[in-house]
Amino acid sequence: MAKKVVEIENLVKRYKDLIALDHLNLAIEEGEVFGLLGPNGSGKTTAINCILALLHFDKGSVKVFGEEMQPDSYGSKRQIGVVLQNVAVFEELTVQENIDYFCGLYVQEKQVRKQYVEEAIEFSGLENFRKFYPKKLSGGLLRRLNIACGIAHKPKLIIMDEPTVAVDPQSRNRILEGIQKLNRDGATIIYTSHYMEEVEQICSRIAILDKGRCVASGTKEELKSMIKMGEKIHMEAEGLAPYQIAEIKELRHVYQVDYRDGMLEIRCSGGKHNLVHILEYFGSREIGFGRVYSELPTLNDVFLEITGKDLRDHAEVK
Amino acid sequence: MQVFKAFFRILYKNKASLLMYIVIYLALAVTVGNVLEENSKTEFSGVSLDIGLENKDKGSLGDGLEEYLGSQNQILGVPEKKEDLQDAMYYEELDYVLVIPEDFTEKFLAGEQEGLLEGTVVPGSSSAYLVEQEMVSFLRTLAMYLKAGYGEREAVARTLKDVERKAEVQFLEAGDSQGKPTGFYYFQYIPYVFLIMMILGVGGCMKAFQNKDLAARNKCSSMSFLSQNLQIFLGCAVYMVIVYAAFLGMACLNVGDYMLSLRGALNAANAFVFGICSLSVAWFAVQFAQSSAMLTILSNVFGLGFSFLGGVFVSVDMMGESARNMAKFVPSYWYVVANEEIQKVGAFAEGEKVYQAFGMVLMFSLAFFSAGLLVNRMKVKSK
Repeated sequence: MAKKVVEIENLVKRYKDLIALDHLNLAIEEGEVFGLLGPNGSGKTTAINCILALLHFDKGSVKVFGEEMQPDSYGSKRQIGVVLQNVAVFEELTVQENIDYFCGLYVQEKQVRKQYVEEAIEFSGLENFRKFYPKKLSGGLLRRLNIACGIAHKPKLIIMDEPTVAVDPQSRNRILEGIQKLNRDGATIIYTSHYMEEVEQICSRIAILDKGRCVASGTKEELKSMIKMGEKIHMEAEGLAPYQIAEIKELRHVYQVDYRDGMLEIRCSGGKHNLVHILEYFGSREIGFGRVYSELPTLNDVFLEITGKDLRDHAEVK
Repeated sequence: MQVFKAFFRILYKNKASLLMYIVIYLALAVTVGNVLEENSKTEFSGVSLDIGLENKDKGSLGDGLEEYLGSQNQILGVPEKKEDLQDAMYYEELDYVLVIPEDFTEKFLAGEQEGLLEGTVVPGSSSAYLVEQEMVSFLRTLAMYLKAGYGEREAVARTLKDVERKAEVQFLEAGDSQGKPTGFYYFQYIPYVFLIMMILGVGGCMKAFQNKDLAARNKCSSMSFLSQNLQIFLGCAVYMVIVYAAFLGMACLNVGDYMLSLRGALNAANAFVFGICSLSVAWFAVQFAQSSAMLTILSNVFGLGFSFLGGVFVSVDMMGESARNMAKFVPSYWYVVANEEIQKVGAFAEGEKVYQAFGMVLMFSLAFFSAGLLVNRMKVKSK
């Protein structure tokens, strides 16, 4: 059985009347890329801050590397790399000086640090920008600098809180590839985001947070198997009558039908030949149709079904 | 010492504005000091007046008086017409007009002195006072010799010899009319430049470290919070000492002799104490600085405000009573008090008032530091 790197038990954090974390339980194992998924205000950042002992919590416990996490748990902190949601670098220091500064908070030996800084610069692709000040960097480069500052000291556990916010696709891909490389090199990673594609792409296990609670956790496949939906079919069809929509809803495995602006969205539970059954219905009624495509459930569907709301568009509550 | 190094790297980035204030200070202190010194060198000079004198005396005493006044002033004739005389006085061609009467010697020998000589002066002129003082001095001495039994001519000769002695004026130190040396002016403006340099320098660094995201990031590290704060504190202290040493070095170059004196040593101590206070004020001010622009505003508010209120630029004696009372509540006032008192000190043991002023400045340091801590704590709590 893999060693547990982070153990959170019954964690409760309140901000006056608002319950930010409501008896949260999580266990993160060594070598995982663990995704914390949830809309804004779901408690992801609060959970991260509690793991890092940046916040005092009201109840529960947080253990990192088997040790109760406290503000002065410097032994554990030595092995943690942090990439916070907001870029936290010194405007007055160059790229290289910033990475050296943060690396130096963990690594005292000058020669080792020098080597680590070089490796972090290379890892984040900032070789040509080492003398640049943060103000001169684009949003993507700035995020890469933020990551370089967090991982330069070669931590065993890396916590990344939405590191790709407001980043262009090229930089985002580079960052995600980098995270996968860090994981291959042995680091355990906690990754929070509200971009489902990212989490699906890189995370080996995912926990979905909503209103400070863990509403589901497991691998992508496990999460998808938790929901009713097995397949989602989209069809272009003009002028469908309400009785026809009702008939479609009566087909085998179909449990939800939405028809809007000439586009039909049919949700089917697990089962085979769903698309064939639907096409047979259209053929027998001689109903014309345009493009047809079928897709497997996404994490957004999982989230939607579990929490009843869309992951990305949820209003921010802080 | 990662935090300490970063502190100085950030400080180094602000070097341009800090250097600018050093230049401003040097221009202010050295120029003002030199100008006042130059003025003081020419301030003592004999005053020679234009006197219109008509000597009608038939004896020798009138000649003696004429000779004496002529040695001190410019003797000119008296216009005959009354209008010409009035014009000459109106246009200040003559400062004083004296007519020595025919029976001057006779009456003086008889012991009559009151109302014997009457001069004409421009109303409100100080010239009459100076000429009359010269005449009184001459006639008193003359009367003494006559009483002592000397003859007319002998008495006049001795009197002239006595009253013509001039006082020797020796400048013990280059300074203004109140005897203040150039070194005094060099140190007078220190509060302004120290406050600004501390608020901009230390404040700029502290602001960076107090940035919410950076502070959180630093707290995540394996370096203890105490160690980080101690390194920042050490950075502030070292910066203060560097600034102090730089100004002391410049003082040695500008007023080297003064710096080797007791007063120079006390001024150096005064500046050091105020350096500590400036650091505390900077710590307090930075709690309110949300941006670099705000920091610049605060540096000017504290730098200029404390300097004007404390009597750095303009003596508090020239301010109203309420302003004078208010001045006591700013540390720069006590710095200026110490600076003034230092000029009266002859030995270390005599510097009681100076040491009291040092104490007051240190008390202000403690007060500003405590207030800064309080504000900081309130800010942390509100977050």
